[in-house]
Amino acid sequence: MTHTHEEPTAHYDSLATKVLGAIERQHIAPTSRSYFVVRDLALWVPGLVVTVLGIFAWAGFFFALTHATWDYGRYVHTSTLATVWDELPKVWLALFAIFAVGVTYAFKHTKRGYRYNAREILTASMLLSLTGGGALFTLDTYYRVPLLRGPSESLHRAMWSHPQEGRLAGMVTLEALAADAAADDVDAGITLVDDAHVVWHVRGIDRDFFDALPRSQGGMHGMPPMDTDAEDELFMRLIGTVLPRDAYPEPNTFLACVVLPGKMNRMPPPMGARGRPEPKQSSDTRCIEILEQIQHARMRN
Amino acid sequence: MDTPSNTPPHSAQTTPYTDMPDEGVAAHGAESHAAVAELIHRYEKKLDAYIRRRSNCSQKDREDILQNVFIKMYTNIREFDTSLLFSSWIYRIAHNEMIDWYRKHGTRRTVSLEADEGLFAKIAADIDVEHTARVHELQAAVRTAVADLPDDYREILMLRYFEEKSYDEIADILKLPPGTVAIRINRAKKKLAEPLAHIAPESN
Repeated sequence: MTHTHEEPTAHYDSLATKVLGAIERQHIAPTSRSYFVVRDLALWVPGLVVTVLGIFAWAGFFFALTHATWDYGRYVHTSTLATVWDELPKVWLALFAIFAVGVTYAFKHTKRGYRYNAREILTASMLLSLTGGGALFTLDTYYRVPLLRGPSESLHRAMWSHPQEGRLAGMVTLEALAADAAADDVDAGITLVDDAHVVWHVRGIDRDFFDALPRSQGGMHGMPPMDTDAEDELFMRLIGTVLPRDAYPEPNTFLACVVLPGKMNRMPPPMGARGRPEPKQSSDTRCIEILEQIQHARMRN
Repeated sequence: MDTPSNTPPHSAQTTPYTDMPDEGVAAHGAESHAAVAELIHRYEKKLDAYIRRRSNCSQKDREDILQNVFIKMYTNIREFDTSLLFSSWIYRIAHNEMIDWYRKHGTRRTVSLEADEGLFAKIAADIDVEHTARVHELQAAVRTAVADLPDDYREILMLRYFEEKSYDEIADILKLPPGTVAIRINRAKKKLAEPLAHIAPESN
């Protein structure tokens, strides 16, 4: 039984008249079906596109995560925290995912309840991080506060331009590589030009190493390499030591103990024993002691 | 039991849509004013009572709200998916219209609950009050307790007990997950039980 008071029927009989009268007077017409279809498509099609793009984005993220600087951080950074800080974007994303799961669980199992719901908490956290990071970047504090350089310093070439500390980065041109090969001297090494335009002769890298790499910049792992260009270059990061001048004919000679071709999330390093890409380590017996010295030097700093 | 939605109202003339279910009538709403009138006849009383319970607005304001609800129903009739419940859809329109009315008039949501003895007795009994003899004494307390509930809980209780909507229908009307509906009804009942325990401790 409907639990309502009885109202005069005249009131209700006139309501339909009033409504239909208003529809006639104001020339109101039903919205066309196509409007609703287009409106729904305008929501779901971009949603589908975003989801598909997300597949590739996450694939790139997982690739970057598994090829992060964990393996060689001890030679580059002064502490484990510094290594983690260097990979901060990936670390934050993983921690945020754990935080989201934890918050969702807590809100579902609370007896007393919270003032805000899980979605509000997570959205607020994300927005605060986003706007705070944008503000820091915009205010240019990034360049003035050393602490903030960490999260992208692994990609920052300046950090790698310290050959005396065992870190060297630069470009290996294929043209120079070909010339080195034509010199028919297996001990001559390869030619690398660093950011200061200093020409280095790098030893400890077999020429076969380059045959295993795609001759292109910018290819994602698993995608076919682009055609070789005569002006193509390979960006390399090396961990090793500067060899004494009097021992070698070339003025700037560097012994590479660890080779990291390109940016780790852009070019795949050579395959390691575990069947997945790893930084190349030299077989030169001097490298064991050299790497230990570098590691201890970083720990002391 | 509520009036079945496909039963013709006593004041309406017989039309081709009289014996048709709501969803079938709505399918013709875009082309036929008779279908629109039929739907208005079927839902005007229910929605009027719903609006009256949710607000303290005057009869004039209620008529305006109802008129807007049915005009929006007509304007968006082609959006309605006939495989779903028309009742939930139009209650959703009424719910949104109420929210717009609150915003426009800057009023706080107040409650105008009728002295509906049967319904308050039902709520009191559902809170598991053991001594049914005291249920009538508790009805006034239940009415006060319902009025004092937070808006979200009160609205859900109204839809459940006054409009006799199922959990799924409430979920459709309020755009909430069914689980959330169940949790809120449960919490609303617990909140109601607190003042009842204070007023009538013997009944516990």
